[in-house]
Amino acid sequence: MQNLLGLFHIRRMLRLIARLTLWGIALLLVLPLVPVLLWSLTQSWFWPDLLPTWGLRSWEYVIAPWSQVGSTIWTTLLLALLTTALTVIISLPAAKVLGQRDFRGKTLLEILLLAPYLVSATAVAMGLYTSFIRLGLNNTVQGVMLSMLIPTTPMMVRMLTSVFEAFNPEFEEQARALGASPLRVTLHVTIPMIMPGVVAGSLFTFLGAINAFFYPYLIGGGKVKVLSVLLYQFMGQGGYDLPITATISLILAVPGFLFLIFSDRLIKEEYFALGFGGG
Amino acid sequence: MSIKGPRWRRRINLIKRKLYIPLMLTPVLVVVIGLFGGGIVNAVIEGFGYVPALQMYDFTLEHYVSALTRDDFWPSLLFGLKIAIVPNLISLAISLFIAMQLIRRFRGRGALKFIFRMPLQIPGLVTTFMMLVLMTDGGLLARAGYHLGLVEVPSDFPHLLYDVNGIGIIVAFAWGQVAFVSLVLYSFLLGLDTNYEEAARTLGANDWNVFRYVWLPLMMPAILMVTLLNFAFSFGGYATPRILGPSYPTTLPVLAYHIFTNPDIRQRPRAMAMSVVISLICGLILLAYTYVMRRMQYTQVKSRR
Repeated sequence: MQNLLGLFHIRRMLRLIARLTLWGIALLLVLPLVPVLLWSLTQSWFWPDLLPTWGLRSWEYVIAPWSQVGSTIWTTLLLALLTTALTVIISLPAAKVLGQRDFRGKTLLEILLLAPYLVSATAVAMGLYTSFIRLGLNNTVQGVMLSMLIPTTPMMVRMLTSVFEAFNPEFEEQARALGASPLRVTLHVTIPMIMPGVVAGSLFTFLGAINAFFYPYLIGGGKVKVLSVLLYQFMGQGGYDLPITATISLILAVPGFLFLIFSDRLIKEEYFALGFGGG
Repeated sequence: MSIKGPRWRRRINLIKRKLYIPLMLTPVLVVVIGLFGGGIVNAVIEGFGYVPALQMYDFTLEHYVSALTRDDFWPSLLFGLKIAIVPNLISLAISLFIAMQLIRRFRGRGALKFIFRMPLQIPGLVTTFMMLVLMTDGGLLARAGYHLGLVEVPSDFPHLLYDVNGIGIIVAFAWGQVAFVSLVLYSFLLGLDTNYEEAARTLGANDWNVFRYVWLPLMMPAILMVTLLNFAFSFGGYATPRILGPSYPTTLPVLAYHIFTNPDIRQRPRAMAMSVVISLICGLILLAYTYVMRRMQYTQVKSRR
């Protein structure tokens, strides 16, 4: 009896330690965000003070029309939106075939679709550079959009393929048998059934397009101004303005945070794993 | 219906059916073969020294040889492997712990799940900036050190950034990966069969043995896949090692882009040769990834029987 009680206590202790460790890890994940928040609200911050003299000058800079941060935000959103729309249009037909049909070379195609996801964007972008100059695509929004399809398409195809795998084609056949035209079947059967997956995939692609750095950096050549490139340029300068850089970081992180807060309501957790072979 | 129609309509239907799959795949193939493949092929050709745009019409192996025999090639390769492997192992260990804990229900689980998912939605560049302001000489860690009496002036603070040890890069990558790895492992665990654990417990296994001999082997495919993905992302990344790392040794992508932007435009083929080397290493990861994926599908089929 005594022994059993002791064992019980040890197990409870271990569980308590595990919980505390979990919260410790959570704290380590949250803490590095604090300096960025503080820096964006800083007027000046001298060594070795732990807190800054507060000020909103970085936000004044961001809002001011001459800083061009506002137009950069619009370009970023527009580019991400266009990229997402194009990615959906390109990926849907392929995902339908991959999810519902068997054909020769399917495995090879699946491997081929993984490659752009895994191969370094730096290497591919440099390879594309001269061709894009020849085609007049460098330094243009269209060029950046095209180049960003390289990482976004494979991910979208993967996610939508699992959607179509779970989708039972008999629903389409029944609608056809009842006399619906192919267009009506698509509009009233296929699209409503795959919509949740398309929304989830689009959100991921949109975020990925906003966060993408190297393609807009190289193909955009400084002419296509997006937030990630702006942030990089601020960090790259020696003696850069920390409050402004921190504020741009925060703005760049906003879409992700919104997604994090609302994703529970918008999409199911399983979709996180779908794109990565985990599900 | 179509069988009864006139012959020409039957023929059209046949052609339609034969063209259906190729047509549906065309847009994706244009992206994967045209854009991605085009970029790779272009790099291979320009690596041979054939760049018509720059009036270079050589066709030699010289640039590949000189890329591989540069003084800074091997140190950069090793440094790149280090910052691809070390954060990976750290985040894997932490994420295994998180995933195993989260499958049980307890108070505060929802809040923890939210926090553990957060870094996934933070852009890599923002993570880089976070680590920058945290770890520089005059950063918040150094200031905390001052108030604890460990650091007197900023220069006393150990070099976490711009240093051969690459602590800043490692922490930045590990921080970003924990969310991704723990989420994938957690979702994978939810789909696993708990009967194995009960069987092991009945046979007298303790917590550690259940983890070591039941969960770990079952999770192995997911672990391998997520590790390979993270390896490829870290190894091929540009901004984080460029900003937080030393100028020597650096990583291969940073080195390749450095040669690429050399004012001497005749260096271009060397940059291309090096980017081909990077792509080849990523290709090896791809092979390993496909191998694991196929093995996993096989075991899933087997366990379903």
